[in-house]
Amino acid sequence: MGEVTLKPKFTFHVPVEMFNVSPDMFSAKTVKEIGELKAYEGNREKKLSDLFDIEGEPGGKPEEVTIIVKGDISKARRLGKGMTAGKIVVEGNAGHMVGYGMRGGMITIHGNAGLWVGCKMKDGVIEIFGNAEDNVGGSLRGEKPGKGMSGGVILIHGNAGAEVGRGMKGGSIIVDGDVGPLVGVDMVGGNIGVKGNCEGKAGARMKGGRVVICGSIPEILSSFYIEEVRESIKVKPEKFTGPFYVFIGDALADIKCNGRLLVSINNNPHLKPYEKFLE
Amino acid sequence: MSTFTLITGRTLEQGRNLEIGKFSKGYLNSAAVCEMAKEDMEKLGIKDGSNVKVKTAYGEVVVKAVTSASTTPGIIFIPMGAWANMVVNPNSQGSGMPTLKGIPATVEPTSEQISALEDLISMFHKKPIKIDFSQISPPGSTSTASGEYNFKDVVCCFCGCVCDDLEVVVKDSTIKSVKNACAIGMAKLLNYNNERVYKPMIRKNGKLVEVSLEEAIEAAANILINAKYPILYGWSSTSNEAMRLGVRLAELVGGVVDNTSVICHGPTVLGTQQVGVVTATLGQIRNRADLIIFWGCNPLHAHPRHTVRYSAMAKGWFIKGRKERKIIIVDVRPSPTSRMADLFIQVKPGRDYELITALRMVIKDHTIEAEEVAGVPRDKILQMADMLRSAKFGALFFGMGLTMTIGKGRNIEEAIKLVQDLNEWTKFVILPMRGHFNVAGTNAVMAWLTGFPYAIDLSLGYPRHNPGLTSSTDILIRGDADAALIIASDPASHFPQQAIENLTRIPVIVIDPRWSLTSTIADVIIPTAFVGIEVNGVVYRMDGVPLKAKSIVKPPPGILSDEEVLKMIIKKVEEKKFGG
Amino acid sequence: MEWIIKNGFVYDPLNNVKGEKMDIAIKNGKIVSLRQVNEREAKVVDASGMVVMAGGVDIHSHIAGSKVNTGRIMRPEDHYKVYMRIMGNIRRSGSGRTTPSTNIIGYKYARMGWTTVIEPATPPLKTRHTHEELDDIPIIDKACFPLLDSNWFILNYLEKGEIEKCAAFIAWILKAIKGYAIKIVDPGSAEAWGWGKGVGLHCDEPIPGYNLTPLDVVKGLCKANQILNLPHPIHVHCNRLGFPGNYTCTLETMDSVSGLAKNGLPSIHITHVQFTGYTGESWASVGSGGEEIAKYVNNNKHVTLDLGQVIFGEATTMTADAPFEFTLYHLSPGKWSNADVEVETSAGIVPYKYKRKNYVNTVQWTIGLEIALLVKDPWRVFMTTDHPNAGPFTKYPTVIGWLVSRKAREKTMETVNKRGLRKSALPTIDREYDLYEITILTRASPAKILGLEKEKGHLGVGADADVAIYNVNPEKTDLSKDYKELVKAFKRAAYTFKDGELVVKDGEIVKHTYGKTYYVNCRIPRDLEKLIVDDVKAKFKEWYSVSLNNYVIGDEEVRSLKPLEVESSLK
Repeated sequence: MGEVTLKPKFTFHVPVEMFNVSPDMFSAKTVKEIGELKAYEGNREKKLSDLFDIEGEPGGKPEEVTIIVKGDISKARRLGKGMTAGKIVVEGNAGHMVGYGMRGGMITIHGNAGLWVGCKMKDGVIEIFGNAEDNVGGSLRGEKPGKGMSGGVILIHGNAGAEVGRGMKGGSIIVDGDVGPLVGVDMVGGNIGVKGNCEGKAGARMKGGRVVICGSIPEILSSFYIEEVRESIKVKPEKFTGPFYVFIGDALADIKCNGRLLVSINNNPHLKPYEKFLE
Repeated sequence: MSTFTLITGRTLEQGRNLEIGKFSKGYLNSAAVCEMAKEDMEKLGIKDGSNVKVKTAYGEVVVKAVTSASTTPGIIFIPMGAWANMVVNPNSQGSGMPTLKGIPATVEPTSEQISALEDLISMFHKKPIKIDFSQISPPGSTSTASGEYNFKDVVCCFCGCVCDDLEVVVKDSTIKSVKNACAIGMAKLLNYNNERVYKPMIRKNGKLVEVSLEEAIEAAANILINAKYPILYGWSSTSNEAMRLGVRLAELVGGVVDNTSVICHGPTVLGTQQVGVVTATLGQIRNRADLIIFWGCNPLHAHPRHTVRYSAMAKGWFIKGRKERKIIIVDVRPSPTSRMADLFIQVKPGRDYELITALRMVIKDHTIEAEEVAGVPRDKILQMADMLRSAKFGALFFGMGLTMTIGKGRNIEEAIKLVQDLNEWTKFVILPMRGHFNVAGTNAVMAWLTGFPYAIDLSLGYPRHNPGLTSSTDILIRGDADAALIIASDPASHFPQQAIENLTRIPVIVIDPRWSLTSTIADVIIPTAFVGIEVNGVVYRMDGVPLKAKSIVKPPPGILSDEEVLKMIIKKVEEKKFGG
Repeated sequence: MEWIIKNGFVYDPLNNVKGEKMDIAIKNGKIVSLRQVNEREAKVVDASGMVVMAGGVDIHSHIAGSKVNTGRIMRPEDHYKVYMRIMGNIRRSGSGRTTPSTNIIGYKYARMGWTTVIEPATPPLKTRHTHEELDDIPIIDKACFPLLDSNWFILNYLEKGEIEKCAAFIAWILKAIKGYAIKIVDPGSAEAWGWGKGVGLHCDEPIPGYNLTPLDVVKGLCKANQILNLPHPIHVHCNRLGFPGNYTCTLETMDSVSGLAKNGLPSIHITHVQFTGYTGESWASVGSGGEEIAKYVNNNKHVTLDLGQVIFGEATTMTADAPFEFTLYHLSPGKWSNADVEVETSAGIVPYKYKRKNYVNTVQWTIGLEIALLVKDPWRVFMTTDHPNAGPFTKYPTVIGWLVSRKAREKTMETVNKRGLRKSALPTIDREYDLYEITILTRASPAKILGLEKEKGHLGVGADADVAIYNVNPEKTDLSKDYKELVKAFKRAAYTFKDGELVVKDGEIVKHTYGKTYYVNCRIPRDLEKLIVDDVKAKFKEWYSVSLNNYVIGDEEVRSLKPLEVESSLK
């Protein structure tokens, strides 16, 4: 009940703008009306029915709508833009900017997602079973710190790329795999938990919030100071078990050093020299 | 097998030979090369000058191993080009800039041969045409002008230095001699007719067939109009006037317009977008700077006259020469330029960000806990910071060493912030070492016409910009584009192979005076004239100073300028879209 | 193409027309008398119930050049939400709110009925770039002012007291880079900034390295301007811009050239006076110096000024006052750009937001309006927002609303910082501009002070057919009460003509055209010119990093160049 299925009519080659595919845009519409919604295939203005076989019956309100995309939409852009409730499930790869500016509801991607997952997200849940690329939960270029994700939860079961949580203000991002460099760059609040390794430059210029690395990291930025050792930490909705070195920083972003960078002790023996700064 | 860190970049020989001819033996000998430290070669039993296979997670290539004092144990160097692109990391980390430096690689001796240029891309979807240059003869000179002309203040058309003091002697419509140019500029001016294209062509049944200009224009217009997401890429060797037309064309066909800064100083734009940029024109630096830093760049090879004309060695109004300046060089290896350093800092590949962070901390008088950062001992960092703060006027020049390594745009952001921080103490500026001739000008044109300087997506009818998404590198690597117009550049030689593979799957139009690797897989080829040799045009130097490149010889018969060809394509597209 | 604009209420101060119902005829791009037009064949615009005036003239707006472009590049976020789509073969695309791209600039000015805009600050070495951008701005006519106050040639001549050589050099450089007038910005500070100094340079403080003060520079350049008979007075951005208490600098600067007025013409134009109109000793006590400045201007006829009116919201400050921008970067941490230009000048850019509840921003907001309402002679005050420093030019209709309606001002004053309001006389001012005065402020007087009153700023025979028709009925609308109608009418003109072509209809672009670029060709004696060129040649190689031959801009390089021929008094 309330389910609408979308099946790509052909293999997309060029980018497909899917900003109208959301429970909010589908609710209380007939399949025909949904088919009339605008989409773009590259520079061609299209209707959703040009690009997808659409079946089902959406609910009357967004929270009563589940959209299931059967197939690969790795060329998609802005799927679920601004949605406030309801569900989207993609049985394959989703494209870029999944859940742009999302305010509620849930998006589940069974495959991989591209760049800017949950860009400027305000609330809701995004779960990626595969990998995500760069700038998860991030702000847009030129925006000042704090314009990224401000609420909600992003769960990535695979790996994520560079600049996870860039400019983040609130909410949680949890990555089961590894992350690229610059996780938490420009963040002012929120939590990021990484179960795997980090390529480096973690917590760069953070003013607040927490970054937790359970795996290894090659070097800690010298704008961080070691403060203490901690056994575990909650990154909602999960709990991470250390023990962790806790670094405060980033002194170059804010001398008050309200940001916290937690790094696994066991997986980072090369960081032992820092222990001499602990009383 | 021991893992090395692979760096790619410019060399003087690669640059010079590129101008002499991309399909020449000289170019292959200078670009299909892997520079290694003597100790590393000995450990692996590799003879100097023998072939080796370099392997990374992204591909493999056979090149010639040579001993070089400009590298360091653990680091290998392959000059930029199609051979390097077989093994570089296409991942741009969402920045548009693939990772062309700092790639883990293995090296082993091999008996395999080095591939010729076009053979490198012969395994992809479209077979590259093999060009028989012996069959191509120039159609004779257009000009009936005889006699000798001595042109002064000629604007060079090779690199971002845009030296405007060249003296060129033209006799019987041919350039006979060049004074004041560097080796590469001279090579360009004396060899520009090599490997030249003289007639428009269309690819039919795997062969390139000569056609009339009208037919080629019609084919180009059709390709672009039929495309749902075309890219219009290159631009950096042509004039601002041509670039303006390029933006108009991209807007008309709803495509992505982008220039070579995407693989050069695009990350500098990304850094500027976050924090701004504090800079000055080259004359200001020459006149006043008593401290010069070269970070991640090798001007002696990539911008050969830079140190003499604008920076380290130059005679300024207040600062009279090298003796009154201090030079700091930061690099992952002892580059040829590093020999002029008063202080040489060898930084670990991919850790420039960490080093800049430490410098910024020290300059603000914060303590740093680590004894070594980015492979640099703390004392040396303190020493460098001291030199920076006590300069009267410092200038930081930087290049691909910062833009191409991990961190990308964030590296530049930090370098700019370092300079901004230093302005609390003294006068300091930063300037990117722009590579390609008019890359700065074409960035500027795109910025004033669309609001963004590169990677502009006009597919929805208005400008959108988001490198990673709208960058032509990533677009090609993902296979998002369904047509390409390539002008004044050679992406098949300079993009990672994953991008080239997808380029061979789509219709390609090439507008260029010479044969390039991209031409070998093109569907439409339209030859044009050289800006700065045969055609006038406005170009910008690396510091944004606008100069007028001039025509000093006439182009061959039937060869038009980029501007004229673009105007014809635009007219054809407008006719098809809006009616006569 | 011939047009007749029928039945509109025409406002044409330069020809003393105060809202009479008149027909205006257009032929071959010019205003002609009705007799010269074939009434049967001419196209007709029914302007009944509408206001007709000459196209607006903006005397100071940063629309083109290197720093404007750097502003665009460093502010991609300014471009995400404000953009224009391509529309068929008629309109081109673009983006940007406070740093708009070129097509947007031309279109949005034309949509408001503005047809001539001056780029007030270009560094000579990079002016080729300025002309390229100006060339790509559609519809409007334009000109640019070269920055000359920190130029090594000029400083050297002035230091030696060689005013005539200085004047000759100015004539040479105006021709060499196709410039229109002498621009002075925080004089001497850019030279000091070459060594990282110059922040808050006082009018009477020596410029580092020179035996000159900023006021010496102002006086010297004023004299040179008079000798050359240039159409526009020296255009001056006073020292200590942005510093509390700086209104005294403005007074001193105006006073320094009070004796130099010639033929009853103003000898100095003070630009964006709001920014140099502060009382107080610190930001905590800053107040409006508007009354003092207005008093001086009322008593001294040698001064003209433009407002630099603050608009609440996002702005991008960009100015040749580079040391000031360094200061602003500290006051408002965020992005900061700087670009020194060898031998000549510098520039700084800092994004900024004017907030209603902010005490200082409220004081700043009051000053421009206060001065406009206290200065009695509307012919010596021009409306600007120093785009994009105090606000984007697209907000001009809002400023007009504030000028014509006390109610409009009160509405805004309800939302701002109350303490800030107390530092200004604005709340006590009742005066309301009428439409005639608005016409003076926005087209007649700027055209006159630029020396373009023959063809711009009026609708008499011989003028360029640059016409704006606004859908507001002065007989039916009480501007004071219903100012919103006036603001709406000015936001989107009913019709805009440029050189006799209809470019805007019902507030939409209907034709993409290009205007012309004015520059001043000032004739000086041959032998003096040769002397100057020899002087320049001798020093050029040592000072500059380009060749003199490549510095000079050729006539063919600009799309449509129009020289204003001027004869200097030099012998």
